[in-house]
Amino acid sequence: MLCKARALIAALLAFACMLIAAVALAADTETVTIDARFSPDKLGAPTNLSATAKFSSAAPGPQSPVTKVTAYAPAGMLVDVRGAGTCAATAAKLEAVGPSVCPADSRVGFGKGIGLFEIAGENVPGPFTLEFFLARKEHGHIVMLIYVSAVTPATEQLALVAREVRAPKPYGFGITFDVPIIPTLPGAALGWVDHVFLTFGAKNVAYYKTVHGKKKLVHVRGVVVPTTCPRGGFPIKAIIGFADGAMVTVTPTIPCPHKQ
Amino acid sequence: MSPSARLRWAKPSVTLMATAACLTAAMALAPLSSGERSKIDRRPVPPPARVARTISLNETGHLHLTSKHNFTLNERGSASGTVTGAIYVHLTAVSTSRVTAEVNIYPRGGSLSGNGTASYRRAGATASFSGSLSIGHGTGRYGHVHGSGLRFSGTIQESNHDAITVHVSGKVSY
Amino acid sequence: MIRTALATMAVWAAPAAVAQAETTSATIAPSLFPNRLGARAALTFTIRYAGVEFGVPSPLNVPSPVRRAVLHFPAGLRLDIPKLRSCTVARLRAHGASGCPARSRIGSGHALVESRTGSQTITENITLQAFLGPPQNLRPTFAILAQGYTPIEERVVLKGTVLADSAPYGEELKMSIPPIPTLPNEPDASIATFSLTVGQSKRRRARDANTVVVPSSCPIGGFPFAGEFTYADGSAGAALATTPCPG
Repeated sequence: MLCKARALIAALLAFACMLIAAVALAADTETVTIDARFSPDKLGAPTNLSATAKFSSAAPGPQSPVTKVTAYAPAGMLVDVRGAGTCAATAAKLEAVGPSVCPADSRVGFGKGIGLFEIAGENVPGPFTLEFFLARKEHGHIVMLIYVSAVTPATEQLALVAREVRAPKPYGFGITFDVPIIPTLPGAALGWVDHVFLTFGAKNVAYYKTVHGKKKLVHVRGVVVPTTCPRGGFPIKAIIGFADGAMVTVTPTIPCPHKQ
Repeated sequence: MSPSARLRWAKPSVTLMATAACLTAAMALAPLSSGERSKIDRRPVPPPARVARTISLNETGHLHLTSKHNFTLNERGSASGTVTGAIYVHLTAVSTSRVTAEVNIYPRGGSLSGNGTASYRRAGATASFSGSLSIGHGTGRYGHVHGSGLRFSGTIQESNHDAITVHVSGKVSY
Repeated sequence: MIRTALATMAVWAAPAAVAQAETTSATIAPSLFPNRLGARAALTFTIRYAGVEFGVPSPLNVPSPVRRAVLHFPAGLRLDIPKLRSCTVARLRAHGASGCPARSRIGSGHALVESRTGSQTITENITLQAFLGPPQNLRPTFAILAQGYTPIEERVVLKGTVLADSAPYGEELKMSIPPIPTLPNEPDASIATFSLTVGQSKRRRARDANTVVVPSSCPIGGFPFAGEFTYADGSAGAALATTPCPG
């Protein structure tokens, strides 16, 4: 009996060690590279902010799925949503009905990416799309609904809620959102993101609004480039959390505009 | 009085009258000095009388494009026919069915200039025009040239870099 | 007549044989009003583009952006512009319609553009205004201002040149369509429908308005029109249509 108990304890300890080792390994092996830019990149002018994130891991086998994203834009970047509409739907309704439940003028960003699923030893790509809608502010802070849609290898739609956060200089406006774990195919490992592209705002977005009883074209400034660019470029920061507990912080920069 | 007597009387009268007429004519034709100019006649002396000529102008010009501006083609070439020399045409489309033209011909001894209008139509790669021209200005031996209602026609060949051929025919005086 | 038909069929067949697999289909719908021989009239030309899937137009597929269009018009159909005025493409781009002489305006219309962004197809209504451009050696050129306001305020100018054509057509209009940008790093927008009216019908026409003149004779089968299109993805297509002879 004592021998059996000792064997069990040893097995549990070994398992715990393996688990700890796995976490540590994950913390050291997951890498995220982000490339972001303003287009056009004129100081103080409305712009489009786009970013491409590439996920990779030095460890073999399926990667851990993303569970939390927090991203900060450079200090001085404005987010002016006056003139844009608001999606009054809840995340649950958006997930159930789809983007048609939100007015067109509440759409503030798009994205697309490729997820990967390991099925029978092969990594199967699963494209997905993202749409960002402006929701009702909470305590004066911007809230966005994110509609995620994938159709292959499994059909999946979900809605996430992103909230405005602030960071001290050299950062400013930021957003944070949680990503739920999504089961894929029965018996298959969880999917993970290979790469994703996001785009917010544009220099010439405009919507018709009724102003003083008259229909008027209102321009939405949206994302506005800071008026000054620090040496080295505009700093941005992204903190990505993974299901295995790992957390990766990336601090790329957006190049300063070329002097004309 | 006898017939011979009447004749004798007539002869001196005719002679006298003829002599008076000759003297009068001589006085009228003789140039007067400035000091002796008649007080009544102050008109300048007219130039010698010029004989106006009328010709039937029949010209064909082959021109090539030298430049263009908006709806105007500027063309240059050589004219042959009644007169021979360089020819310049400024052809302007004023509507999709009408053109105006300024034509200048430079034969030996002077120049002739005129303006015309014509209806214009395109058929495939060739456009044609047909109308009338008036010539109202000239230099040198054509200094007094004038003529109106001259026939003015031609073609524009797109396939030949918009080269044009023009025909002008009609009576002009100079 | 039969030789002409066979030659025409050969002309249409040959391009299809060398083009890439069709990803976009186009249909054209011309109309003349009034439809009377020799009359001063208005010509409305409508083109519809659709994405193709498995050889069949699919409303779920955004058509590929069209880059070039060659439109063929029946012999004898011509423009009547009493007072020629032109407007340059550069002036249209910089100042819009108000930057052009009123007499240079020859038509108007509308278009619908689409782009696939995220999981949605975003559409935008476009107003079209056609102007007479600077002539190419007395041959008319066109500049078509396409102005969109929402959700993206954008202005592009399409250019066209009129050239002689071969029977049964009289003239052809060669048009180049610039990319219609949407968002950075996102696909250009595609034209889904394009409808332009050149000239004015009698009801609205001023005495010296710019119009189209209906041919003075009509071939058996009606006035023939055609269109050939080249798309951004390298594919090409064509469409034929006829308008009935005046009754």
